[in-house]
Amino acid sequence: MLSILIVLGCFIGVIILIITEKLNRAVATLSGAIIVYFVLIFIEKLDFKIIFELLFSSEDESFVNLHSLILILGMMFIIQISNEAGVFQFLALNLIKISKGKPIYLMSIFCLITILISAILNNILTVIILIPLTITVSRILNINPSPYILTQAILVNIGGTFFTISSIPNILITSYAQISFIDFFLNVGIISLLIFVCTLVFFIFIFKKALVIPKEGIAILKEFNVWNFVPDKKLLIKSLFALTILFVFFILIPSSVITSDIIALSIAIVLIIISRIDPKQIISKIDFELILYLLGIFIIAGGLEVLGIVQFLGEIMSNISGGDIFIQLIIILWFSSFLSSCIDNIPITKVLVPVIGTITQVYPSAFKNQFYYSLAIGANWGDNLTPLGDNILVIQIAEQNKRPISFKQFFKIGFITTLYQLIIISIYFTLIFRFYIGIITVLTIVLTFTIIFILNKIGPKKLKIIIEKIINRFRHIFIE
Amino acid sequence: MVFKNISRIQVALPEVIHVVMFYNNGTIFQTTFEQEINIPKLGDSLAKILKNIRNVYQICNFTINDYKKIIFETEDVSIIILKLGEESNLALFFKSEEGKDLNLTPIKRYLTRIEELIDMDKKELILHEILSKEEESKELQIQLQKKYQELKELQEKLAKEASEEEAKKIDKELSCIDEDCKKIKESIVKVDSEIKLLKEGIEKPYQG
Repeated sequence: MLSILIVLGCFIGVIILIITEKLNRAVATLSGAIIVYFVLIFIEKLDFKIIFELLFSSEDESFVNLHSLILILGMMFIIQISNEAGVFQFLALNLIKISKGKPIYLMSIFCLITILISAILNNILTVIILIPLTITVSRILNINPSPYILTQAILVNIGGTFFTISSIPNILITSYAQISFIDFFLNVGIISLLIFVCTLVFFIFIFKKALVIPKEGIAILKEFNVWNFVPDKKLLIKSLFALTILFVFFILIPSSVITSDIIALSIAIVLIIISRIDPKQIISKIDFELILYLLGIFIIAGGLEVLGIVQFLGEIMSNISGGDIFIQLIIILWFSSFLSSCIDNIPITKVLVPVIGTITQVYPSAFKNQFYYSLAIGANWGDNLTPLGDNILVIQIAEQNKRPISFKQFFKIGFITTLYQLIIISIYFTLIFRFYIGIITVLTIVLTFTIIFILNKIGPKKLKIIIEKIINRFRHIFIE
Repeated sequence: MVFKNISRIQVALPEVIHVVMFYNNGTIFQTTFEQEINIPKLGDSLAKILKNIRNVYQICNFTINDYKKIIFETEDVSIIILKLGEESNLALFFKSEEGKDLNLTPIKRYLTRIEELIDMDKKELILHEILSKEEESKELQIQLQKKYQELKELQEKLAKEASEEEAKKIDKELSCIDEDCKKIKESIVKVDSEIKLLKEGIEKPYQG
């Protein structure tokens, strides 16, 4: 009992330290890991082997933690070199130029770029690359960048659920549940694409009136030389080739033959060699803080599992839902969303993955995976419910570039959009597990909007005015 | 379009061998340098110069709002960095000539033009918005006047016409125009309140 209290207290303490930023997150989790070490070795009298198994997972668990670490490291190298080559800015600006400055096209392209880049990079790097670029483009076009920045900040998380490699939670989940790249994309990536379209329509509806671009700006945009982002054309081509090969191999090679982490690391090493960049320069830019942070999390979360706390949590969740798969799925989705809105989604995912393992022990594998997909969606998308975490960075970058965005506006739009996205996903799960309720819900929504649309087009004048007023009021919730 | 301004600068100042237009975040908008040099690194380095000089001011407790220019003279090549807009700058690379001072006056008007084109500051952006809203308001006023005129004409027609059927028709038209007038008035109030809000926003000091 003492061990449980210490490890649980340690986990909560580490989470508080991370939220309050009183201590560097890697140092905080490593401190927690040391406490867990003492508990397991000296109080629980376990062998040192347990620490090794918590860090890298045991053979029975197919070394999932080790695979996750290698995959993260491999991706870091590839991303770092591609970033040095200016791949992401180059592609983004080329796409922006295609819009020819047409407001809705521009908005759609900005959103598309966001999800495409965040499907490969982590959220922080995506924001660091995209927000200054958006502000620069807005300066050239002489427009207010706020609508674009806000939509990008929210869509970054949608891109995070495209592929298994799009975010750390996805890597942890898919390594643990042994979900293949293609399976994840077909089940979560496609849904994310659908949600992306729904969110884009929603944003265009809200910001329609704010999206005006002066003619002169459009002509100036054409003069922006995209090659100014590229230090070396050869390096750009090599990086683009490496990224293409990476995706082709992920899709074509089954993980039973070569695991995705080995594919990523092999391509990374080849790219380091052929890029001719000084390896020391690349290694110095690798985020080792994240690796140390993960190692700490692995030990703390593993400690919770060894002491039976995770199993206890799983049993509580099973009891609450009365064994109903649909309710369990919805709980996982909303619970993980709300948790990841206030706490970093990496420890949340690491703890909830084995909880799902406990809940779904008796379920067939097709259902099991739905739980992991639900966790991936919740952990990634929940982030936008509050303007904390990565979103603070967006506000900071916008301020640094002298185009500040309001915290209140960010909170409102992030919260409402995330609720909107989570409701759509809940309806999707309802369609899978409670088909009739799901179809009635979908038809009711479609019918309501169709009636409103028809009334707005051909209804009596008075009614049209009322509908317009309601729509404008709704828009004004977001636009200050 | 911008290139025209660059070439005009080079015509006005033949000593200029290269021009770089860049933002404070290191992004280069345009340059006359060829792709064989590392252009992103050039942008980063120029941005770092500005950042470091700002740091020097901070360390020495000097106040700095906006800089005007930075000059770095060497025997062969000299560099002048000029401030353009809110976050944009222009770096001019000169061939140094002994005993000859540089006179930037002939290029000043091009600088203002480039600033207007590639980097309008937030206040100016809001001013532009206010101007377009004021035009919108004016247009609405004109529309309203037209509707009043129509209303007046119809009322006169109604007073002259005796037929009951026609009177009904005119009555219907009158109510329609009245409705339109109401709508336009509402729009005017809305646009005016938006202008007021924007003006209030521009009066508030920047709190970045």
